[in-house]
Amino acid sequence: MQSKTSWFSKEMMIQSFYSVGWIALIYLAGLLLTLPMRILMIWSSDNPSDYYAYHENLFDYNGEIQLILVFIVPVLLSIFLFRFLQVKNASDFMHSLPIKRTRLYNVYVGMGVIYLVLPVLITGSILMIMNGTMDLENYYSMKDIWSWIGLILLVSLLIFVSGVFVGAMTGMSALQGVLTYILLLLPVGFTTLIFMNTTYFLYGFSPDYYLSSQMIRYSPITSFFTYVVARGDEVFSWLDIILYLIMIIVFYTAGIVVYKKRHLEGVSQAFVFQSLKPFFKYSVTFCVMLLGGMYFRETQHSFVWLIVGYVLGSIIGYLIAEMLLQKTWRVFTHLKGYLLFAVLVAIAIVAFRFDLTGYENRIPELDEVEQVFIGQGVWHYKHKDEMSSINGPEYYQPTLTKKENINSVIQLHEFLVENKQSYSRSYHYTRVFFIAYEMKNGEKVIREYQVPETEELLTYMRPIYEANEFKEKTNRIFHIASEEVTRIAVDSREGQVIIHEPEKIATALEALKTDVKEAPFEEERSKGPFVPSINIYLSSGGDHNEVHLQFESSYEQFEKWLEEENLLDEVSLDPDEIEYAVIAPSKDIDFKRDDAEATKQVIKSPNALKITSKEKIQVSLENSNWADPGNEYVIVFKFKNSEPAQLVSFQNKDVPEFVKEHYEKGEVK
Amino acid sequence: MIQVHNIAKRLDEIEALSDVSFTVKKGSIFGLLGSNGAGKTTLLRIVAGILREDQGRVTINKEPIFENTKMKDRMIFIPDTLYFFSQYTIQQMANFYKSIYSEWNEERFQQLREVFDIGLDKKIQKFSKGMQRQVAFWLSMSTMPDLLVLDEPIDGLDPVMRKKVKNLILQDVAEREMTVLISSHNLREIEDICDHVGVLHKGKLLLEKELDDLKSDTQKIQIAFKGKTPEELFDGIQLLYKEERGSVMLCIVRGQADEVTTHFEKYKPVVFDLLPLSLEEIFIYEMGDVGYAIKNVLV
Repeated sequence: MQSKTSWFSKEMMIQSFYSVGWIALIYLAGLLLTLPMRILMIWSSDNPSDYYAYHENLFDYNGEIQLILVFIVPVLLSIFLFRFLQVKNASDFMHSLPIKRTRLYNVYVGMGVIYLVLPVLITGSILMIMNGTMDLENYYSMKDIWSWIGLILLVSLLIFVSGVFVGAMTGMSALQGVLTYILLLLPVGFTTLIFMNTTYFLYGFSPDYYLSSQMIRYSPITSFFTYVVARGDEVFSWLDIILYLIMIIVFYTAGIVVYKKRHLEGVSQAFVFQSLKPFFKYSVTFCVMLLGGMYFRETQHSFVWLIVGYVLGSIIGYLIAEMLLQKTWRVFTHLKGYLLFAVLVAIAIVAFRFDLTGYENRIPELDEVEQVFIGQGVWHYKHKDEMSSINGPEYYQPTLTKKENINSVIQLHEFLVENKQSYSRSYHYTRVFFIAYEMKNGEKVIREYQVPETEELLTYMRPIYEANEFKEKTNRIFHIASEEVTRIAVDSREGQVIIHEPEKIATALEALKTDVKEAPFEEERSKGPFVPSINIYLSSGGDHNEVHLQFESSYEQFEKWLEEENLLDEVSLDPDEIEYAVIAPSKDIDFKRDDAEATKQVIKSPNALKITSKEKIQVSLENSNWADPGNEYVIVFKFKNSEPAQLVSFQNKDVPEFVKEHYEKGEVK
Repeated sequence: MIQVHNIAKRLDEIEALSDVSFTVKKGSIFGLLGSNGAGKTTLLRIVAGILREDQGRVTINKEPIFENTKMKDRMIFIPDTLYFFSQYTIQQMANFYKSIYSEWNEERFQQLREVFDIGLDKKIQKFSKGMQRQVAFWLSMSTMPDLLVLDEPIDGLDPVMRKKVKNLILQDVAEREMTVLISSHNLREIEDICDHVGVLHKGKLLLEKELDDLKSDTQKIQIAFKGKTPEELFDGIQLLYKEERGSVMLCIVRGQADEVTTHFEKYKPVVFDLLPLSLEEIFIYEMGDVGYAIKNVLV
């Protein structure tokens, strides 16, 4: 008997090679063409850009093709090697042989592993030989080859064993393929669906807080894609590698367990286990429902469309699942299960809609809060402790700890919750509030709101954003000492002022600090095109050795300081420089073409108001902002010594009185 | 050899087999009769260790057959739809069998080559259904099985080949005490080789008998009396069927021929004949009403 075992393996190997050898050969050919061949092509190329192109690792050579091979070949192998499970004749034949299921499983899994490993090893060896015999240091190193071999084997083996595991459960080869990809993508896809859909029901829920960029690591498909195409180097840490190895063992073992219990009579049915059928049916219904809801909600932004999406999605999902299970498309009468599902979902929707969980109304008590972060999104929160913020190291942390400021945030939060109806998520002119309370008991309360900006909202925002604590934490200027400053430069259209005397720097810096503290919060500042910029250059700070500000109209102290130093005229814009200005209502102008065309239209507009008076030009300059078709009036300034004219606009709240008077009278006419 | 005890099996919510029990002795040929959908194939797949019974027990040589490689090594199942690896020639398939079955007999394989007269290097899947069945027999017999399980084996074979295959089976049964379990939807096809017959109908085993017993135990008689028929005529005898044609009665009764003759002679009939009875008739009368339902299986 024992001597038969070796023979047995040989004949099984021959048999498996006859049935799936072609896949391994295609794989080998694909790898050889994408790597050694491609490298030889570049190596022999006359084109210097080919020669000097930078290659991070071996996935940089035809990475997309390697990706496709690694995603498709293991699944094809798992389907064709275990084809005997899905065809009745073959299944009966193979299982009437005197071979235990474990043995069959191990032999075919083993064959699959060989067919996945050999082509990679052959390609790797050729690369090594090339590396040893040719001058290829610019292309890749031996270390690159080893990490390429390791990574490609890791990912392909994981995909293969999950395909085998799925194959042991299902009775149809096509479904085996589809379900394998679904299984692999499920961790990412399902969490995304759940969190996105929760957002639609729980006002204040922050999906992005939970859906971090780390999500891509939850699936070998997304992480390998990111690694190869987007060159994300966060993926495939040692921890990931260990997890992948564990998952390979888990899927392999689960495959055996399932296969041993497999009912062979289930061949050619969607699932060989009866108990999986309802689970599959309602899972598909649920997921497609969430997907449908998400699609319509994200495109239409309304609750009604969300429900339409749910209804359509769940019906489609249910019918698809039922068609697969019944193996016919005529399933339109099997709707009893769907009705039950619909009733349960409706109850759940009502429960969420009326906030039976109390999630939406939960606002922390002032005494419970240790500190609170308020920002424009979760990104800032997650990166608040990192050194590489765009505003310079460690100075972008609007985490408020003063009691009065925490209270202001709570007030704003209460206002947002009370005005839920009017501030439901809408699309245009909105502001995102990301609020993270860190409680004294260590818990966190995370909320995110996207609401339209209104005057009323601003009254709640002002106490937070104008608070000294907030300003000090969000403006780097408060964190620099005058000794660090090498010079301060003020640049405008008119010219440049550079301050480099240490005493002057100290006083200028103090003036600026006062101005920044006194300035109204960002929403109410005008940062027009004619505002001079202020750059503070530091001797320290590395890459972040510049602090940039804008010389806003509210900066009285700094203006006074410049005046005292007789420097103001050098940077402030003189109305005399301007020949004339032309104002026109935006609705007359077609902004679809370029700015030069729009400028011409303003000047030629029949409703245009041309001004030359110095006072009016001064007022217009102070109130003008960047050109925005959303503003009611646009204005063109023609400078005496330059072409072309400059197109800008008035923010609706900043429209000068004389303009309003002119057009209101005009309309009376 | 084979013991099937109270097995039940549901397939896809339908009860395919319920409470089926029978025994097949070593060296006998058991014919399993049943119309389409009666559950024959399911029963055979269970006996071959492919499917698992939901209830009951199937043992071969007192061991459960499921996942029992030792027993499966001594047994061959030839299903009604055959399977060979794609693109395989007879020689390649033989190599595979040789590597799997410990008792593979190369000499036998070469001998049988003359019986079937098919080239070894031909691809099996290109053959007709009948030819493929011959190949299946050829390979199976070369493994020298102790138990042969055949699902509708005669289908697709021409009369000459049927004869040859039946002879091969009978020869192995006689020489090596091979046991055979054979299914058919037609009694006539297998009555010449079976010694036992079971009738499966809608998942239930209606009858299990030794053919010789059955034949000698049922009699068809023609009987007539002068005047009135004695009322106590059928006392002490099991009447299966009665039909009156004028004064002549046609009856099917159970009992050995001499017993039956002595019983009826007592009443001094004017006419008494023992008539020949075909196997189909026996089945039909034996099973009463159900017999008619499965008549198509018997003729």
